[in-house]
Amino acid sequence: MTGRGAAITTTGLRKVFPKRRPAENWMDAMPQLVKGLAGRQDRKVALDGVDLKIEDGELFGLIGANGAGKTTLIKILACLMRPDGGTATVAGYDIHTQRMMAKASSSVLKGGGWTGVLWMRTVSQNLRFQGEMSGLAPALIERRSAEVLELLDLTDKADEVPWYLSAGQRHKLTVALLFMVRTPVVLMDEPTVHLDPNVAQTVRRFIKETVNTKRGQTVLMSTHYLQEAELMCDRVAIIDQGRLLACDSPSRLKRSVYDGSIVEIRADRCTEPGLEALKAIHGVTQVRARLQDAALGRQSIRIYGGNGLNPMAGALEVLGAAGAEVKWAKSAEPSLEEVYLKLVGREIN
Amino acid sequence: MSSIDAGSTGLAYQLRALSTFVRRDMKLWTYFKVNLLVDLLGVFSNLVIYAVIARFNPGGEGMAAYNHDYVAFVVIGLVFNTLLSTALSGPYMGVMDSFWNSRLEVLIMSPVSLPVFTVGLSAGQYVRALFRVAIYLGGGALLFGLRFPAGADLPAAALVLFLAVVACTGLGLMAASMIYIVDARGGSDPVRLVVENLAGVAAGVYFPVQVLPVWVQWLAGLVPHTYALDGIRQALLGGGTPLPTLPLHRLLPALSPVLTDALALAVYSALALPLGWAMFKRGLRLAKVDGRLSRWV
Ligand SMILES: Nc1ncnc2c1ncn2[C@@H]1O[C@H](COP(=O)(O)OP(=O)(O)O)[C@@H](O)[C@H]1O
Ligand SMILES: [Mg+2]
Repeated sequence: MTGRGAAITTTGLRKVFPKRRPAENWMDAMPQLVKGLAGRQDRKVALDGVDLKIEDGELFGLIGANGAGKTTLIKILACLMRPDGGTATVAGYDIHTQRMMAKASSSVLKGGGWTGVLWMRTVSQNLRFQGEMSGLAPALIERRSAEVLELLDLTDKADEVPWYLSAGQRHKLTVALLFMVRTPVVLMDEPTVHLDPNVAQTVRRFIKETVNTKRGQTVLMSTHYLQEAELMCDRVAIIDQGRLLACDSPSRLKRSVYDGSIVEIRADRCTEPGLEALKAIHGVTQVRARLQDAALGRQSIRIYGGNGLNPMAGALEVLGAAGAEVKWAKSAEPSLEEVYLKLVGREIN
Repeated sequence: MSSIDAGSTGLAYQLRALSTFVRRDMKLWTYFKVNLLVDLLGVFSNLVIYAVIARFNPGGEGMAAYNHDYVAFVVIGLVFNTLLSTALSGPYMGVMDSFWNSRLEVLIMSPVSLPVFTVGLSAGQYVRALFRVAIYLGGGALLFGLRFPAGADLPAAALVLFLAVVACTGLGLMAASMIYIVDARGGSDPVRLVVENLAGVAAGVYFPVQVLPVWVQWLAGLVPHTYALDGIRQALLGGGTPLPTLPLHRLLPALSPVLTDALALAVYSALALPLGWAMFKRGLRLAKVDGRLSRWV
């Protein structure tokens, strides 16, 4: 299966769910039941013609807000859900016609849960169980568990039962389970959600350095942390209401939404007229200010200069004239947040 | 591209996966020691209740075909009930257990074949059932004088047991399919409701079917338990001369009653197993379409 090109492709993938509202009582339930039987439920389009191509060895990020369709896409690729239209391949295998091979070609990690963990078995027994269920030889199972416990800093928890682990340690166990089998493709659904910064960092490093770089596994991970995607991913796709709005490397996406220069300024005693005056500077296309401290009148300001013009000097002058006290100013890069905002029209969280 | 490095997924793998399933289930069962003890004591007290009833010598009406031996009669009933309800509930409980423990998605994604997956889900429960059976037989023999008369037809008994388990597995798969077909994720389902009630009331676990009104006897004929219990009891206790006890026996007087029981079970299995399998697969497929397969959201 080497050399078949893309690790994951999707073509016109579509998924529509009936809208489910839990009925309060039987009187409520009846009309819904009748509608359901008549096939006339309200529907919700979760994926709306998704075309995607992820190359072999990529670390690919799927960015979207809650309800955007990330989990649905991942479940379909994992063969845990059937699409209503379109098709997909995983490691070259069609999810409709070569299901067994497609399934065997990917492993799945779901953030923030217990998925795959046996609560009554110790950490190392969990790893062994996973290895056995995957048909690995005992020696390989031993070697990999030792390695992954070390990598994720779980060695001293090897003989403890997941019930008595902290949430972060338990999550690292689910990540470790993923390591037991080396599939060409790894699907991760919000792998760092609800984790404290330390654990999240460990997991990110593990995904990037061990899973993607060292083992060469293609990773598709969903996230709604834009910085995480920007830091980790070779390419990202932005999904909203089941549609892919963009798909490219973070740097190209950023350049595509903005190719001028950006200045970021932190200033106290900023007044409305001062901010208005910034917009009037020649060449400035946009000013975004976020109030940091109302008492001090402290604003965090991003100023966007049009083609070729750097608004730094002008901005400092205008703010000074308006009586503001500039704490610091620096040239800034556009961020994925700006890309997201521009494409989707609202902030992600 | 890195290749799939999982070992072979052939027969040897599938068998190993099965034993992994069983070991996991045993650990689960024995993890809470108090519950384990309560569980086993409950089995024992059940045995005691019926052994005490046996003292009243309920050996009259309808017991002729079973050697008038109520202790043997009821112990066989308890043993069969245990095994058949395992067959009946195994797939449902297995799917539900994996569902609520967030393991179903992992199992579905692993290379275990669907039959191994399904059998594996209930394999552990069979091992538990065997412990219960051992208590019924051992306790019965040691404390309540359980004996089987000479001339027991063991091959016929084994055949009846096998066919009954197959038939009930078919019904069990139908029960499990209800989880997704009618969204019965709450611990009970319509298939088991009907089968268990018919089996409990009418199939004659605790008393012979003949004491019931004839129309109930016919109704009892709708569940495999009825033929299974009669067949095995007559094979073990009948002393080589089985008597017609069920309506079907009287309908087919030319055949030996035990043979009739076995035939009924064979027909039942041939219908219930493929139907149950098809329904089970349909349920899983439905769940994959509307996204209720696992708790993962
Ligand atoms: N099994 C389901 N039944 C009905 N609606 C669903 C189901 N799964 C997801 N949805 C709906 O589909 C949309 C996309 O969901 P999801 O893929 O889980 O989003 P995300 O993972 O990006 O937060 C949401 O509006 C969600 O409510
Ligand atoms: Mg999600």
